[in-house]
Order: sequence, then structure tokens, then C-alpha cells
Amino acid sequence: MLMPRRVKHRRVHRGRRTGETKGHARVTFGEYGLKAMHEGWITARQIEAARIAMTRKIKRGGKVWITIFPDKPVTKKPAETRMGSGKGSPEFWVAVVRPGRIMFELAGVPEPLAREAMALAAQKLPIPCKFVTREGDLFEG
Amino acid sequence: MSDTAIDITKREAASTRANKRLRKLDVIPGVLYGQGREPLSIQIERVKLRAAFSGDAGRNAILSLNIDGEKEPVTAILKAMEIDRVRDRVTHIDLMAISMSEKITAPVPVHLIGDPDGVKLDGGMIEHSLHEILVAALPGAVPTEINVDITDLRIGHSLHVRDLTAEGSYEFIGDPDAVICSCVVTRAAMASSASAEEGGEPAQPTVIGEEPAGDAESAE
Repeated sequence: MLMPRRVKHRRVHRGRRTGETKGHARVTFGEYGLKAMHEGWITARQIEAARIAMTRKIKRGGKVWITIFPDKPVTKKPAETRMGSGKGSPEFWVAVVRPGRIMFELAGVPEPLAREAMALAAQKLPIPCKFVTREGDLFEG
Repeated sequence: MSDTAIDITKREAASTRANKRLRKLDVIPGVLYGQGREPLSIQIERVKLRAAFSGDAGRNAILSLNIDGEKEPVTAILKAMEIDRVRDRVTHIDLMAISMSEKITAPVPVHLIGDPDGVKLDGGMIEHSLHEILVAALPGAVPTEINVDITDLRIGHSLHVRDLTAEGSYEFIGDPDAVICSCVVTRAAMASSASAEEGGEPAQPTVIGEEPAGDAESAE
């Protein structure tokens, strides 16, 4: 699963997830993309599950890009522990995703197959997503 | 490229709220500048813009703007667009007035043609990296697309901008070493991810400043 090799701080604050994505709102590497329509924390496990679902669907051929990285540690206190005694230990890693972010990209497969693969990947994620193409109609009403 | 006539109206209110109201009516706010003109706030119906840019020239179409209150039409091109990052819709456009006798720079889409040997014989995959190339040309000489023949591309080989020859009166600008496309091995990433799956529980990352002595030395 994805996680940073080195970090500056073992634990970080939760932060805020307001507003839209700052970058990577358009398909850059491939031909098709999966766009987040809501904000959320995507865990490394969810990213991996989505990637596996997608690659199994497209079988051989095609290339997948993961354009989010889980670089935020989430801590948890052990079960049945009294409050206090400091912050819990890091349990898993998440990527902070805001609306508009392209999370996965795909190339080298026909569009119907890409749509199906992305739909399977979207099933593994905790937020509503949208299939987008590089040549989307920007002037559509 | 032929001119596409389009009627535009001047925009009186230029506030954010006024622009939001326009967008609800399917009208896109914009600005027109260039050729020594004072920047002019304009508004165009979305349907008209869509029709104007759906021709062969795509977004490089030359527009002949009939502005209300002005006698002569203004020749202009689409210079920039602001896009809603969530809904993927245009929210504002910049039109630049041009002279047909002065060179302009425009991004032209690249189309790959042919069945490469690397895909046919070796089972590779084409990775298309550069989808648009910047060209400098007179407005009438900007190509609608650049067709690149990739039939001879073998696995592990790449095609660069410097390998292209301009077939008209235009020139490529930008980095000549930029890679247009490469023929790569498929599923190279699968092997690395498979090995990652076998790794079991992940180790915790090292905290900068708290590395073991050996790691710190190697990092330096």
C-alpha cells in the first residue's frame, strides 16, 4: 500500500477540507479520468482496492495512473482505553481529496471499457465520482 | 482557416453576482483585448460559442466578432478560458483581437497515425505524452491538427518534437526535446505492485530528524 518513506512529523492535525481542489482538475497523463465530486479522505487501502478493481477489468493492455497520494497519517486510540494519556498511534494513511480532483487516469483502452473500469474503481471509494475524458465538451450547457 | 461570424454584446455589469446571473442564463462572460484596443467586457451565448469551436479548427477557430455598436467586425481568437474545476464547464473566456498579417502562437492538437511495430510485433503500448504542440504562424496558416506517423516506432523508442517536419508555413516553438509519444512495455507497473502486495503489514515511515544513525548517514 502507498505511504510516505520519510515524514517530518509522526502525527498531524486533521485540518479542513473546504473549497475545491487546487490542482489536477483536468486529465493530464491518460485519456480518461475519475473525478472526485465531493471532499473526503481516501485511505491507502481504498486507493489500492480501486487500482486492483480497475486493472483486473482492463486485463492486459492499458495504463493506470494514480494521481493522489496518502501522505496524511490518521491516529487511533486502542479499544477500551480511557481518555487522556496523549494522542493515539498512527493507524493508516489518507489522501485529502477536494471536489474536482482527478484521482485516477487511464489510457490505452477503448472508452466503454474505461467507463466500466472506472465505475468499478468508484465503487471502492467513499465519495461520489464522475468519469471524465481529456476531450470533454467544455461548452456543454 | 475560415472565419466564423459570431454576435457578441457588451457587458454592462461586471460584478461577480452579475456574472453568476449571466451563467445561469447560459451566457458566458468574457473580455476582448489586443491590437491596441481598450479591454472590453463582453458576453456570449454558450450555444454560439459551442458552434463556433466545434468546426475543424476546434479552439483555434478565427472568430469574426460583430459587436453591438461597432460597425466593423473584429477578428479574434480564443486566448484563454476559465474552467469550473468540478463541473468542467467554461465560466469565462478571453478573446484576443488579431491582425491577419501578424504571427500568432496557438496550441495545435497532435494525432498519432498508424499501427506501430512495437505494438503489433512486440505487444507494447503507446504512451501519448504531448497532446498539443505550440506553433507560430500567420492566423490563416495555423494547422487544424498535426498528424504524426508512428508506424515505425519500436518498443522502448520515443518520438520527439525535433523529429517532426512542418508541412506548411508554420514553425514549432517550445522544447524540441519534448517527447510526443513512446512505445512502452505494458503492465510494467503490475509487477512492482504485486511485490508490494506480498510485503504484508507496512512498516512505519521514518521521521526526519529521528532516523537511525546508518540511515541518516546514507541520506546525507
